[in-house]
Amino acid sequence: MLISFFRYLYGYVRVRLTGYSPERFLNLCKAHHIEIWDLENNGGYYEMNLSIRDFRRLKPLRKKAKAHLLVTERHGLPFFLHRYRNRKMFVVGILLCITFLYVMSLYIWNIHIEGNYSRTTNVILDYLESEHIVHGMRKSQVDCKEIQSMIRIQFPDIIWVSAEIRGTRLLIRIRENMDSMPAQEETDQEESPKDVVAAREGIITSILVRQGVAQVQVGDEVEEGQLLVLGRIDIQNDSGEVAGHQYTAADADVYARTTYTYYDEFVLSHEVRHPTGRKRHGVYAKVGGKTISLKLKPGFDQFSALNTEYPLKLTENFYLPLTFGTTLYEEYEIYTESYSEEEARALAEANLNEFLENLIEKGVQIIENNVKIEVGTNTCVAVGTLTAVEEIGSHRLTEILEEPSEAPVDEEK
Amino acid sequence: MNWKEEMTDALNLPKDLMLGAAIVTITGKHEAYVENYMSLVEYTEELIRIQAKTCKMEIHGIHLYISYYTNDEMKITGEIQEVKYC
Repeated sequence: MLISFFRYLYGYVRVRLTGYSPERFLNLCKAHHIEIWDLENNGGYYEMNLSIRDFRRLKPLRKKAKAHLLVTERHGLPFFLHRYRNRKMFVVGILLCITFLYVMSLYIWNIHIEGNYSRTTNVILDYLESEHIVHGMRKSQVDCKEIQSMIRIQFPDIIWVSAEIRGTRLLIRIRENMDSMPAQEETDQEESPKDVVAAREGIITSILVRQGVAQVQVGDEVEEGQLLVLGRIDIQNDSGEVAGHQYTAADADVYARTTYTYYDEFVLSHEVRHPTGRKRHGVYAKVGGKTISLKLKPGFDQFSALNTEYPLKLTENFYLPLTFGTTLYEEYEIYTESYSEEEARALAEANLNEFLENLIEKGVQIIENNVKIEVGTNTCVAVGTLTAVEEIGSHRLTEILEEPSEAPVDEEK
Repeated sequence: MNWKEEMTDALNLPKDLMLGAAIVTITGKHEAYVENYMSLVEYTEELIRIQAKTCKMEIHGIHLYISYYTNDEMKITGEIQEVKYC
């Protein structure tokens, strides 16, 4: 393999040998250390391969052996170059292509992030961009170790990061801690003394204190902002006087019956948009911050415009500052219509249900619903109260009292 | 055996160097390597006659072909039928 490569590199010829004594010629070649290969006897003549350098040394031997040589084939790089000597730009093109590939391979073309669930790829990419880790940066400027520690510091819920350059890709693998958020809150609570106060007014239905001193009982009516659980524990001395205070972050589950007033009113007559079916399309492009528009004027009095944008990207996350977009104009006409009683009722109920669902999502339990829907001649009104049971405890920093000094007490004695 | 051969035998020296003996390595039926020869006497498709230092040898066969031919070694391919020393 290596031998045939070098033979190709230096070039060789296939010659046809005729004459009085070909064997004598071959032995002369051997004596002059001329290498011959693929020697073949075809009846009347011999054919063999010789390197170009050896071929040039043959002249005296030819005379001596009275042999006739005829070059039948030419092989190798020197002949190839000679044949294509007029196509220099072709070679230049190949070299330029190789250089281009090499230069392009020095840059990061793709940042791939995987393993992220709660942190979106865009959030992490934006953060990396603020730290000057961007698409198109030099590979040599990427410090994987630093990226790893940077991400770990910036996102505490990411518990494991691996950054790696593979080809022109920067691969970032991430493991997130799924239950890190509540743990964090707890540590926050322990930092400073806190009270539990009422977030809404209501009647206490149950109270469970884990830390702190309860200030209310079940059945008590509380106002918004009223103290429910105190984060300060008084320490009394033997004579029943307050000798000092201990502070803690009060923690309690306080449920109360609360009421919500609900009011929703809308006019029965409303405007309806009827599309006429006439449409027009427009095209535009955004380069950097500028918009180059090929928009056609819609030519409609009243229309809706729908823009669809296609950002151009090279790789998965490498967006170029070039965006193409199409605009769809649809003409419509406005009619004024009036809801029927059933339609109005359904709409009012839908609004109410949406309101209730929002409450339930927050953990509020609805136990009574006294909303009435009335449809008048011009308006529809939904009004009433909702009774609910919910957690009303919210945290507030405990007021730090001055420690009563014990020195004066001693003096009185 | 003359004294030279006995010496080489006793001292365990390579015979191709001491006596100028040709080495013929035949692999299967289609390949032969010949070393330590002096010259090619005759070459046709059916017969290759080689002059070694001490003797002549003939290789008979069909479609004989010399893959390479250098100062030290030659490789013969083709169907080998007979190797004869004379």
